[in-house]
Amino acid sequence: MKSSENLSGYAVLGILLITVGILFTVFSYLILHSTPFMALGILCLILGLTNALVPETLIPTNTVRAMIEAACINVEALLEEYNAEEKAIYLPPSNDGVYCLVPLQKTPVNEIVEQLTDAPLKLVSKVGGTRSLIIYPLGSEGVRLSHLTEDVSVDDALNEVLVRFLEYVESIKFVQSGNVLLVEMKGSKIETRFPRYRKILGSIPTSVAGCVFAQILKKPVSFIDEQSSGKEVVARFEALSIG
Amino acid sequence: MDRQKLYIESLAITLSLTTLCLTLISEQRLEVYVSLFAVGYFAITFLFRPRKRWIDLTGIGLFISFCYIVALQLLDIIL
Repeated sequence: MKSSENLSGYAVLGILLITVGILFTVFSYLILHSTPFMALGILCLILGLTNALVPETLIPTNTVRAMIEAACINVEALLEEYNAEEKAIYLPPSNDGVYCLVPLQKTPVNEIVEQLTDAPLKLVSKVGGTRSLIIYPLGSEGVRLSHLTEDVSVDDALNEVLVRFLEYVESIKFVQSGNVLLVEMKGSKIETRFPRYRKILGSIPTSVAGCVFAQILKKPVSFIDEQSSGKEVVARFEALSIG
Repeated sequence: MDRQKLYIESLAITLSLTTLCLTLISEQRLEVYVSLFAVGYFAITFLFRPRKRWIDLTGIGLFISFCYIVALQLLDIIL
């Protein structure tokens, strides 16, 4: 539970009931010697704990899913409009969140890697002579809102964002071999039904993983590919070295 | 109606009725109250499957109490 949250109505009622319950139980035991009143005190305690642990507002699952898919539609439309085919490069945040650079021309990454982080933040930018789309992927805000600390490891960051905060997947395994970053995600709870989005940025959990890599490693990370079978996704990225 | 509100109201009504019925039959053993609270709590929670901010402290407490009561009863029978 985050201490920074304001207490909801449920939490206030819960704390009140817990206090009343404890006092009433002790009072009934010591002074009244009455079992039914002790039971009443325990009842208040149970209801108080239940109230305190219930979140105030619960956004319906279908609403959340509709919002996520709506966000993907816009990106899919952009990628289709510009006929993007190349894989995305996730770039570390400058002012706002992590953003993606999608080259609109077939260009070897090592030819533009030095200019990547200097790319002007416009919808269509020229990076090393290559026209590219700059987009903010779905995971960008998720990584920003999860408030990752500066010294967190990549493994912990992936678990914090994808498993605990966003709850997109049930478990994650991460392996780094040189510059190649391999992430295996099991129990994916969210589908990505937009083909161009999947091909260029990866599925939604993969895209979030890309954002985490860029945020934590503080260097551009290129999406290579992903394999998915059922609810299991294995994605590969490459960390790009500048200079 | 909001599912969370319905869950809390159902729990309150169920446990209150349990307490009332046991009081009317003059039940004096606290373990009977606690056992039935545990059964009622888990039944209602299973039906509604509410979302929680943190781990289910109430469930853990009731489960431990229930196990303790059952263990005492078994020891009484064995010994």
